[in-house]
Amino acid sequence: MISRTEEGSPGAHRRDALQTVTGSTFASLVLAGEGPIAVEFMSYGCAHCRALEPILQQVATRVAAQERLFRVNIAVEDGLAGSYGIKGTPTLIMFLNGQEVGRVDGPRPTFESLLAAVTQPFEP
Amino acid sequence: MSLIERPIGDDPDALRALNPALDIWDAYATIHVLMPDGSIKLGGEAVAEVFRTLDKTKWLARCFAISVFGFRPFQLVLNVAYAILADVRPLFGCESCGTPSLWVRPIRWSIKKTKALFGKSHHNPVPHFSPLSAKARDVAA
Repeated sequence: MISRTEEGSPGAHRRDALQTVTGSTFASLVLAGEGPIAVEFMSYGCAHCRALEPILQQVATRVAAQERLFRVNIAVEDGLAGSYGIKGTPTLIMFLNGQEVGRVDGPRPTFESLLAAVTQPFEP
Repeated sequence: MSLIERPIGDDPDALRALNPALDIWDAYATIHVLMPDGSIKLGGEAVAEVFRTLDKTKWLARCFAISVFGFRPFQLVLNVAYAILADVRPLFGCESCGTPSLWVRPIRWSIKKTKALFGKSHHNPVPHFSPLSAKARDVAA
């Protein structure tokens, strides 16, 4: 059943640990960014993305020292979605020095699996 | 009072500018009606408010205001009906509605099994994924 509680809402996380990137900032923040970067391709109308959001916030906070997480709203940035062959949401793409090094379509919305998804591609 | 219908859009900040309590994720999950006094009605309460503003359904909206010892039976039925409808949307092929609620999963499982018996099984290898519509894929490409 639908309910609206401060804890249950993904928006309850007022401090956003993920920065939204657009077509105009993608190159400078992601492709030219240093170190490990994970980008979530999502849309606000996607229930799977909604389920993922609070956990992704926790993961972003956990890995903040080593890795940066961004989101791309494909409802707005359809050009970026096309460039990266996004077939649905949520899709996580991991970048290292501007190169795609990993991708997960529809990650399970658990802390462990998300943490693994955004860190494993960067492990030696 | 007239009703202003507004698409949710894709900008969380634009939505919060309307009312700081409006959250874009919540807005996509359930119907919201923002009242002139700044309060927000959700779900069945919001549907009743919509009925109240439409000429053809004003009569029906009066039912939802009927109170018996502080208890509004018709409003309660509407709230439950809305919540059930929201939960069963995935059964009607709503790809973006996500994983069904626990009580809906056995029903979905039964439907899948029944379809499989008649050779109409639909295999989705990725459980937590909303595929883009064909139109969206074309636009993206």
